[in-house]
Amino acid sequence: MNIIVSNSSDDPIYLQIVNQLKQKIINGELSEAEALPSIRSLAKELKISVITTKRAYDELEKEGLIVTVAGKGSYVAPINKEMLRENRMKVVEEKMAEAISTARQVGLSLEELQEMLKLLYEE
Amino acid sequence: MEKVLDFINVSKHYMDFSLKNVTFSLERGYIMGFIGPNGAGKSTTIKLMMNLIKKDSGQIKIFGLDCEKNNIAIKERIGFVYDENLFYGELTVQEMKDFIRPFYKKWDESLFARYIKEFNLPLKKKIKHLSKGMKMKFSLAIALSHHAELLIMDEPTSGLDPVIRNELLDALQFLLQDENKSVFFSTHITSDLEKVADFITIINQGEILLSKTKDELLEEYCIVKGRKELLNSNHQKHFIGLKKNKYGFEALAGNKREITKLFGDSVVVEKPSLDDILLFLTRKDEDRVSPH
Amino acid sequence: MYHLIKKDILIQKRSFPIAILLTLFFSFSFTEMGSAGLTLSVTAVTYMLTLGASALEDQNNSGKLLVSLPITRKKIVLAKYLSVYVFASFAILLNYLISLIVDFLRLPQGSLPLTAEGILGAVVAVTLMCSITFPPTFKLGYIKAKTIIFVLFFIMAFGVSSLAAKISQTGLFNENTLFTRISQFSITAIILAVTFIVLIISCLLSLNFYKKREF
Repeated sequence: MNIIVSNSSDDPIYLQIVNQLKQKIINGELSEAEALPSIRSLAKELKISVITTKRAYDELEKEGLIVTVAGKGSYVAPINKEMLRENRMKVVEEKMAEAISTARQVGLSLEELQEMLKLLYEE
Repeated sequence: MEKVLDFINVSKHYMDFSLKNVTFSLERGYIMGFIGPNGAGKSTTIKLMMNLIKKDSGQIKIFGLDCEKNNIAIKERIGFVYDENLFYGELTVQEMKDFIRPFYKKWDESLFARYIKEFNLPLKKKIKHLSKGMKMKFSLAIALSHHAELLIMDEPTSGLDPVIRNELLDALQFLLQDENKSVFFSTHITSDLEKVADFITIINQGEILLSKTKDELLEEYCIVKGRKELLNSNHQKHFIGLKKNKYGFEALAGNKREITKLFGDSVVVEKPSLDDILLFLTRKDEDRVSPH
Repeated sequence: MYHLIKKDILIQKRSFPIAILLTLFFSFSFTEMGSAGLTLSVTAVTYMLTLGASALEDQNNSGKLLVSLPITRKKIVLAKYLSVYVFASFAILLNYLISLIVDFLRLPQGSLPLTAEGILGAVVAVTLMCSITFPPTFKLGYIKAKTIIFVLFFIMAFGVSSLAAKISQTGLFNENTLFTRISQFSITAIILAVTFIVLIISCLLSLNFYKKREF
């Protein structure tokens, strides 16, 4: 498993970890009940502070993606992948709606918008 | 959360310098970086926790125990590394270790042997012939070989090259795999802490300016850069420190969100480094805005 | 405490050959002085080693190390006082070995007699000298205390000689006065008692100074 954190990114480091682990859970790279690295060993490997990894795990737990068993460690929570995917799709829909409304304001046609989307997607 | 180190309103006065109402605490299981310019009071604070000097007022608790009354019991559970070599130069590494060993009830010879190997320390060499980096690593090996719960370090990396500093940080992170260990680390080289520290405490002129988690600090604070025409007294109260030059201004602010709301896209807002924060907080020129 | 004393010996590895040479020198040059020669020899060697230990300690700033370890300041002070007698024993042992060798080789001269008088004299002298040296050392550190120690020694030497002059003027040592009538044994006892009191006072001062010492 790879986790890459960047100091120059605008996102705080804990958020970078949250996003990457979330990604891995959704795409199945991390499967249900699989053990995650311990907070302290992850901190050591990534050369970041314990508090930062702890915060990332707390965040994931709050979102219901992982469960932490005191004294044992953290595991990928049993999740409904379908629902998760739907949630994500909802986010995509929202963002698209936003893009469309902005496009209307500047008078872009559907074709022009589709062309733009195609270009961006293939980038 | 259990506090392994707890300073409550501690003061210490000298003729030319005073430590004023120092208050901060460190929770078990974390690394605290203690930063400030030279002469800010870092060493004095460490001398107080090591009982090398006596406080004038306030309270210092280590592992929940009064630092003066339980001096010996506390020292058994502390490892220390100072910025200067205090070992007897005439003794070899082995002889020095043999001298220190009997004073610690929990001394672990196999652990010491492991550090000697890991740090490549020559047992038979006289201490005066070791390089500065070697002396620090020896000091660290001694500090870590009696299962200390709290490691206190006073400028351990000053004058050392990045390779050795990195080795030290590795050793610290390895130590922190055990959640019962804590580290208190004073330095003026903030880049050492940028990565591994959990908490940051900043001291200047004998006073604690702030003490919080590093993540909070780096997320709340921001560097603001923009045109001088944007500045007015209303804006300036949001700044902790302000630097003006011919072509614009640069400031440190303590509330990133408010700054974005206030200035929008008219300024550049950047993530600060610990160095930026330290520099702005401790600068002495007339443009400095009070932190309150 | 044992480890602290052992450390005082270990850090002076290089001083021991000098101590041996010094003892040999005294042995051969002051053979005629007998007991007084032994006192002189043992005192000089012991004081040299005692000062050496303090000086090296200060050079390394190792007081800070000792106080940072789980050792009480009391133990550090008491070990210093005890180490004096370890050094003195070493000096006496050296003289004993030299006398054995001289006897074995049947040399005409070269050894100092190991008399009770000589040994007791050395113990008294060493105790008094260290009693003066240690309190300033524990208060200020050896390097800063050096001048004070020198002045104290000067005052003592001056004081003792002028006191002796005063006493001889009073005629206390003339025939049939109190001092000549009491036995040699009693005089020894009085000297030992005074030395012991000085040692205790010095020790208490040192303990008090070191407890308050800031590093």
